[in-house]
Amino acid sequence: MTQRFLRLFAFVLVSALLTAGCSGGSPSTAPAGGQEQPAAGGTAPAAEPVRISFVQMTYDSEMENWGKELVAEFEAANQDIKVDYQVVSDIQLHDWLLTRGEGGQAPDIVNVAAAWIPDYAGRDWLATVDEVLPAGFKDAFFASVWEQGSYDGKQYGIPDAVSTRALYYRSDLFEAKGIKPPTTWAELMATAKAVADPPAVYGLALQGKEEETFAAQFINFAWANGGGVYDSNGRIKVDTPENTATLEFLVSMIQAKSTQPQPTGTGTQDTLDLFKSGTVAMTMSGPWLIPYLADSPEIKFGVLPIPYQSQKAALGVADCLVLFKSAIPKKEAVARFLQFMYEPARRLQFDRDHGMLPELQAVAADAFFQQNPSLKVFVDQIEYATFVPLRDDWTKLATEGTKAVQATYAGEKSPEQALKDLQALMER
Amino acid sequence: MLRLLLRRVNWTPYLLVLPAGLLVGMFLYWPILGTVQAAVEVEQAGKVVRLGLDNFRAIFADRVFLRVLWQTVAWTSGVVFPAVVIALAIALVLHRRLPLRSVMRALVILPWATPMPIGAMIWKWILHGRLGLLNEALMRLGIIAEPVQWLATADSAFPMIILAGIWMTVSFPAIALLSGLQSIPSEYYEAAELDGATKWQQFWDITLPSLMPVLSTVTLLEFIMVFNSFPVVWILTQGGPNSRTDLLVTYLYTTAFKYLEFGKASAMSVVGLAIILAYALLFLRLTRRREAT
Repeated sequence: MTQRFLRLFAFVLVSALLTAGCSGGSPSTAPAGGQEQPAAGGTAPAAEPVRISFVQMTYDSEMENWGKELVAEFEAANQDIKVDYQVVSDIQLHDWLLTRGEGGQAPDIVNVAAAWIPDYAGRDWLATVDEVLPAGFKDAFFASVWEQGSYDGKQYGIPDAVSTRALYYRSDLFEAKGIKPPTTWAELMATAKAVADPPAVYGLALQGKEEETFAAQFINFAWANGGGVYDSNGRIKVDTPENTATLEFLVSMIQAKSTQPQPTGTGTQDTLDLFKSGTVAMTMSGPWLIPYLADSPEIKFGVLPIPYQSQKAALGVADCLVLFKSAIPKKEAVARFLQFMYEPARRLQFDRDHGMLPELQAVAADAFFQQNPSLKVFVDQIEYATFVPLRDDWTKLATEGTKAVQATYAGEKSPEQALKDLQALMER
Repeated sequence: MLRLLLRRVNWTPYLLVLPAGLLVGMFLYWPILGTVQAAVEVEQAGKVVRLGLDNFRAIFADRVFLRVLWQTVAWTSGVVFPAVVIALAIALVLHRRLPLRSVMRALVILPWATPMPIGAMIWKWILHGRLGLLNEALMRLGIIAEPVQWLATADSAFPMIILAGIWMTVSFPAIALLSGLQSIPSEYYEAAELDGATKWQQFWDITLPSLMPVLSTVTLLEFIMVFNSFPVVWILTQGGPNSRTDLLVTYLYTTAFKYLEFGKASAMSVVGLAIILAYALLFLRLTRRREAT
């Protein structure tokens, strides 16, 4: 009796599991396919709104509200379009999107770090901007900024969240000691030493942890010395005399105690906190440090272009909105949404609220940017700024480059050796 | 003939095991096979290209990877053995009749009940270069004059991640060993006492041998968990500076999800699996032999 019962029970259990497994798939795929059809076919009755999806990464805690307001305003003016808005953390977005793309479920419009574009474009997931937007769309942008969205000869990204880096210095400390803030490397070395008062105040906050060590700080200094990371044929070339001299200069800054001690423990956020807490007299950062310092009125500061050796150089960084191929069938709706979003008044509000620089020339001309001396330094750099090149080897170069810089900061390798090893590693 | 066979075999146990077997197969063996496949094959333009052992050759030619393997062994033994010894001490203390025993038992569980990433964040604050608790305490005690950047150099970062690792690891063996202690019959001790055995002799000849099955299981489980542990190192140092605190799992993660070199990363995880498997087999054989004698 029990034997038969058990057998029955096992049979029921297995068949339940199997049927659940089979039926589980169908309801989840059916509506998705059904929903796409009216939008894709374009034959749906006018009453059915077109649905587009937009994913924004978190720049700050306000992004959720920013997007909701934007979408609400847009939907009020465009009753025939519905926008699904979602915020994804900047830390997770890259991998999240890879998984989504792999499953064919990426959103239509996503805001990504420009450096990620090769990862998605290389998998043939992205639509080019021309496939969706009218040709004149790019005219309102700075040419240097627009270039940031181009990869492999095609325009995949619409820049947003532009920034350049500059030197922040403590105007009160420099004035009190009667020192002029630095514009060249020699002055940087001298003033960093002169203004410091360790252990209360150190000279320059030098970053030595996380990828921006190489990808933002080292590369900016290298450009300012006529160096760089690619040769004229576009091949990686890091072991050049200019780069070696740059790294030697940075190491000599540490050895001369012109920086905070042990920079290999200092990440991007730490360089801001060191400045905000008054522990360093100078740091390099983007415009977002200005609002970050708003609640520390005792920190009086000024902003100058990054000190240079042989030529002025500014690192530009922009994020980009990219369009997945799913946007092509709905291009009319997607284009209307993007044009709405990029109206100058809206971009000005965005830049103002989130501490970003303008990507549109009309916005840069606004009094908000022109009459604030600190912001003007950043904006003026946009035109000659070099933007991080979009290549699929960039992330590896930035990560391994940071390790190379760390090895020199920790005294494990000479600058020449570290760059030689980096070159060999990247060629492998 | 077939009907006879069907009737002769008792299908019930197979049917009962089938659901669990399906689950384990789908979520364990299938991914493992997929990883091995990704290590030896690659799909290029819709065609499968066999690579053989190329990926394995490449990772073993990488000096950093070899160093990372060594660091992983150092990290695993540096965390597991001290953690098990400390756990044994804690279990022995908590086994005695103490005031507030239940409160103390709850306190021991706390690090285990804390999700690993949160535990790691707490340690990040303890070790913070300027505002950290550790710097604060050492400065007040006059041991150091100015704050130390604990995670800035390999010399101090590696011991610190091990310390954090021990803190996060110690609870589980402590609780397991405590329950092991409680299952030792008290008659053993009473008899030993009558025969005039010292406390030390009692521990050595009764407690430890009786605990051996629990101790060996716990050590094996801890070894596997710590070997594969990701959050502590990732949150505290991300493997830096210059890969000096990288473990197999963090290095593998960087290779797969930053450099998108999935073939190499798969080869690394196969190597990791082989190490764990070898260790587990060796360990089981050793402990089984000891139990047999």
